[in-house]
Amino acid sequence: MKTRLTEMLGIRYPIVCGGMMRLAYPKLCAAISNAGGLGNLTSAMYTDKESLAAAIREVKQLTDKPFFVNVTLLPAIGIGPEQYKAYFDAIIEEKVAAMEIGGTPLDRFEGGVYLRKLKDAGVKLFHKVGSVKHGKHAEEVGYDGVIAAGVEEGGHPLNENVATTVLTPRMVEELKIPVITAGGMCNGRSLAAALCLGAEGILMATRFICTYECDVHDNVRKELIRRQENETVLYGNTIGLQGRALINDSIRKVMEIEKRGGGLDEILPHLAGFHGDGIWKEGDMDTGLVPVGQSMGLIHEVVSCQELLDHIVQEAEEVLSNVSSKF
Amino acid sequence: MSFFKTRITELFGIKYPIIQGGMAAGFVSTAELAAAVGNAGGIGFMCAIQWIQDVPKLEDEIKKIKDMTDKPFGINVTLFTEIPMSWFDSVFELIAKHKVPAIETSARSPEPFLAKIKALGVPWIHKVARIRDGVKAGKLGADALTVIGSEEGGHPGAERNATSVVGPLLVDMVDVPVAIGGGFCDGRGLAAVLAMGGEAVYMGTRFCASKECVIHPKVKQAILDMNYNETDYILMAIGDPVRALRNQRTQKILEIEQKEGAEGTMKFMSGLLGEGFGIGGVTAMNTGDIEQGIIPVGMVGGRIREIKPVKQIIDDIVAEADAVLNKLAARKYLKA
Repeated sequence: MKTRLTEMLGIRYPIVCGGMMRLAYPKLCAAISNAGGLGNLTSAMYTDKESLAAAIREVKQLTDKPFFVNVTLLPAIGIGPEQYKAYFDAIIEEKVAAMEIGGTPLDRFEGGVYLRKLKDAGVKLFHKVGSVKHGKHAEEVGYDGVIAAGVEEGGHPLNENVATTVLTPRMVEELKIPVITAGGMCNGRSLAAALCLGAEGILMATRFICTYECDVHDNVRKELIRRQENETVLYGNTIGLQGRALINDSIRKVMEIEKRGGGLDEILPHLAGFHGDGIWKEGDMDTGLVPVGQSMGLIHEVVSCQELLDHIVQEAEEVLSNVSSKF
Repeated sequence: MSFFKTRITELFGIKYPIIQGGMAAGFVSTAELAAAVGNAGGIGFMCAIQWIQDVPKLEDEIKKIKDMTDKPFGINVTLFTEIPMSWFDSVFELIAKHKVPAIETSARSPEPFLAKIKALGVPWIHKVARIRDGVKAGKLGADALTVIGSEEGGHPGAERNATSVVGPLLVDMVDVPVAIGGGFCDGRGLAAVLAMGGEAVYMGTRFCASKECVIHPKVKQAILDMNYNETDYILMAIGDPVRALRNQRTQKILEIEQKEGAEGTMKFMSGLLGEGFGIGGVTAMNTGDIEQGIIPVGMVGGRIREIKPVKQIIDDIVAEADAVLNKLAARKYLKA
């Protein structure tokens, strides 16, 4: 199966993994790429150029296939410009195939010098956006593709709150570069539907947590399978950074802090990216925010990345051929 | 274009898997619209509560639509708790008397009405926003279900679940066929619904921006002018959220919800009742007051650029879905 995305990246399936703090490590990244998709190595888990470069080399030892490195340029997450530069240098030197960029677009970081350097190095650049305006900007400044992130996604959906069914086709209408759908994507019917809406591929993150190759406490996988689509909530509008997280004790505390006008400093200790070991390593699901999407409701079992991707594509192919034969 | 069949087209005896849902903020889903949808090969539902103050007018409307089409149409019975049972009984009587071909229920569990609905002996579709409500209605014996995501206009449910998730999920959870709504206006939408496992696309806003819909031209123009990120999700404070076009009124309501909570919001909304808000009768949808009225539209209003006759809307959707699906089916994922 070919889409403009698989052609551009030289991958078998139009399925990519999104950045995930404390989860998107080399092992999972390589497993997804080996299975025919595009894995993700999330840079914010590394503190400097050398440690990120070492992680990239680790992925390369596990797979000869392309993969994403995620860099999220957000002032709120406490990473300074020098560290971002170090990430970009590592990505360029290690000849990474593609990047998933979130937050500030690259042309607005250090006068766009790294946008040019990354492009010159042949790194394919994808920006994750929640609005058509941001998608058009990414196209204009030279990105190779965009990830259209619907409000149903986990992590940090844009506070315009536009859902995948509207955002993806609207983006496709306006852009020439390929659009990847994120938000709500979980199975073969998601992939088939996203392709119908005009996307060239899908991005999943939450779904990949429930694979054997994700290094995470088993309680997390069990909890995501147990909990339903209606058990996430949006938070963070009072601090200027909206997020979606699993309903648990921590998010209840955050909502309470927000309600009485408490600020970022009070909320930060609850964010899983900063205090995540209790959740991801020890499996105590009430010790921080768990950033998962509504697609959680569609996850029913733990499988390997290869089984997952093969099954998704097989299901999508069956669905499309069944449906089209009726016309 | 060949004939397209799903369990929902079979159930209603229609040509295309396209449903015009009942809409009742003022006079919206009237005979003009539902007849046009039926004549074009889909099925349209007229909301009975549009005529709640005057049941004989509902009977006139049923007679009127029968003069306008010999194709199937339906009545939506919105099961609001504040409506007395006597009114529901009179509506069910009219449905039986005039052999209305289909019924859509919505707003709450159909359980208290089950015997009366079943006695009508016509195809029955029940609309939900929550998965558990859908599962329950399926068990109660609804012939089909509609599930809508929070991107839809009107009453998208308090859980804020998106169509991309609740669509395929309800399909997994029930045996009866499922129509999917919220976010759709075109052939890509119909194709995506079928890909999710849905058996009909359910639309409201797209049909508001049709030549036949009786709403005020200013409202139709406002749909063409709006962007997809220009709706507000109001009245969550009182547990009955509505998605509507962002305007002075919705911004004011959001402000009151934030400052004064449920009690203040309820008081403010009660104060508006005399001004064309509430159940039944003319509203801003009909007067065209797009700044001070509540204009329920979905996010998908931002993708609608032309007021078209209903037949053209439906023909375009079917042609586009056909093209999209055939193009995609020609690609082979595994054999590449």
